[in-house]
Amino acid sequence: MSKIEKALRKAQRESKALVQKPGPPLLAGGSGEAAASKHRDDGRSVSFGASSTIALMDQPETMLPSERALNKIILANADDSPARRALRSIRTRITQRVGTGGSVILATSVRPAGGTTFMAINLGAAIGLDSAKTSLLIDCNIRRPSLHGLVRGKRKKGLTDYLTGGCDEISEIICSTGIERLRVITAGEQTDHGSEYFTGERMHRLIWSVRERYPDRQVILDCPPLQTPDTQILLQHCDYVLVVIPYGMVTESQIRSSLRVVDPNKLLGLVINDEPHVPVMNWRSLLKSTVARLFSWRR
Amino acid sequence: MSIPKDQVPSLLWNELYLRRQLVLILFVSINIIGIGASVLLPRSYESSTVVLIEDKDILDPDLQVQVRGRRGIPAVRDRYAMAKDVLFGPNVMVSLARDLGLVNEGSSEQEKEQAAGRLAGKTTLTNLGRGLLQISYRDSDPRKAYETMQRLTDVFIVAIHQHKLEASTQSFEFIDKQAREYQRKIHALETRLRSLRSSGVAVSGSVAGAATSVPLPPLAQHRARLAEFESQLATLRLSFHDSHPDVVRAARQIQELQEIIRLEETQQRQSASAGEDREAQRSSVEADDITRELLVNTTIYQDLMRRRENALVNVNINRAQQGLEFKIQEEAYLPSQPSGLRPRHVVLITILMSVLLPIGVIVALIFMDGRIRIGTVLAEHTKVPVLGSVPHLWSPTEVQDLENEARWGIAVVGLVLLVAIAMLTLRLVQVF
Repeated sequence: MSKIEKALRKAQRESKALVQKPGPPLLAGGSGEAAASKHRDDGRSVSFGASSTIALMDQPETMLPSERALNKIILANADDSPARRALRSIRTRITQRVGTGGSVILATSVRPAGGTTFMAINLGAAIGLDSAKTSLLIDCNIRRPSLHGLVRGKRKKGLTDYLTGGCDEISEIICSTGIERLRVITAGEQTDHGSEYFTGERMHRLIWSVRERYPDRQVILDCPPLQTPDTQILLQHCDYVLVVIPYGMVTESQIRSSLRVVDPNKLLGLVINDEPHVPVMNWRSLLKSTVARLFSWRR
Repeated sequence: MSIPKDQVPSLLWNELYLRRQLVLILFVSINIIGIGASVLLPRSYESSTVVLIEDKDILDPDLQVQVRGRRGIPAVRDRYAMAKDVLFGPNVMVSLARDLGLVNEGSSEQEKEQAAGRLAGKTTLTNLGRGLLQISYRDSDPRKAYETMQRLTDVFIVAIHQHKLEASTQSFEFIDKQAREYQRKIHALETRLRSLRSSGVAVSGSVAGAATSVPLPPLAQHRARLAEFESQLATLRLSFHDSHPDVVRAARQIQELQEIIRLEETQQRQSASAGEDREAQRSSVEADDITRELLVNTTIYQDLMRRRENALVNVNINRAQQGLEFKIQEEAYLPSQPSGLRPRHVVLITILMSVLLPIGVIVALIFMDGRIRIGTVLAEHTKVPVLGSVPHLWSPTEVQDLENEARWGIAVVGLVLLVAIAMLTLRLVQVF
């Protein structure tokens, strides 16, 4: 572990201790997320501001920069990669359109492996770059779930567990990620019933709850491609649709036919993903190392 | 797909990177082929002779026109065509093959044809202008190229003189044959005319004195003129087409004259119907016709005889090999340097192609592939806002993989270039 990583972990521990030190009764029952929801479930019209909600959040061990880089998640700072710049720009444009929070954005693609999950996570991370904003990712790709890798700490139940009645409290399925101001609801353990999950009343309630309870929070649904029945059902639940177009993989006609199922009023826009970009490489050192390797191979 | 011009370079760079493996494969393949070609490419040595071919006719221009017609003097281009026909004709190439020992008397026609074809394939004839022709022969052996070129020049000189002699002899024989035919006709007409005279028919003219016999009755005068015109027409038709103004004019005059003669004959016939003997009149008319025909044939015969003499002179000139001035301006030489495409050119072209061809392939793919790559194009076509394009986010492992890939690429490209340079150097110092 490098010195920087050690220093970061130390700083996290200290900040965690600072949050937990006053020991308010709201936080005693579990995570900050659960405490906030419990407070609201009392029926009082008490509403936390973004900063107070965020302050109440139980921030687990932050994901290290090296881990984030490995998982292809943009860094919080000290990174000026083109991808980060592009994602921040996209976040800003989305915020201008949808407002500060409380809306549900469905992220989907026009073909499988189109980069929806990458876009959803990084959009959430980009929203979290602003200390006054939070986001919640919901893994709606039940057949090919992928967000459970983000979960830090104890693994909780997921979306399908909630939808099938495995648990009743939304707070029980919201997990910390290690990324600042980003929470996630994983797909869950129950994955047998396919699209029937999203047509039930519980799905309505879930969407309503996350929208109403956390007005400062941007909810992002990570969905399968547009052509799948799951996504077409979820289109009814969302406020906005963000369509990911994988670079050089789909034709204009494919995009047009995919977009027919989307309500034009909900269509937030398109994002081209995975545009080729050659990383900065030290060619001189590469050349030297190549020559060195060739000679060492000869010996 | 319509791509904005300003985005083409960045798009090209992106696609080159994306399809780097294809680019590398193309680069290596082209270089292997090119280097192989530069090694296997046989050295080609070329020896050549420059000859000057000029018509050295001792005949004056008028006579040349008469002998060969108005278009008879060969132009430079015609001389080149003639030389080409002779050089690449079967005689020269088969003779050369025989001289070189490629074929012998016992060889079949097919073998001779094949040998001649091979030799012709290595031979080139270039028109340098102003009668100068360059004959070149190339071979992988410089000495062989030189010796073959020398032999080819000798064979060619003999063949071209032979060709000229044959052409003039054929011309003479044709004119001679025509002259004999007219001579026979004239003889037959004279015999007939003599028989008519002996039967007491008054003949208005004769062969010898047709032009000078005076005075003649008007009808006979017209017939004599008609004979003259017909003779002129026949002479003109030997040199011009029927549409030529002189020919047309002569034909019209003949037609008018024939009309006049016909009217006069009708009048004569009417006036003579009272008491003259019809038989005598018929004989007289026949004699007039024979006289006219005799005059025409005599004129043509005289012209043919003049031409025949000229053709004979031409045959004799060519027999003495004086018809063409055939001068060797530049002797065949022993080539010291190979000609044509050199290995260094092949290597340079190969390296250039190995860079340009992959770029060309990628450009073609970009323009032919209808898949979306550019945000502005996507927004324009779908009328949906494009929020942005997210470049690939590199993970450390991916960067490491890419660096390894780049090392391989550097090694392969370096190796290929090293081999290319080594091959080029070895060819330059003539190791192989």
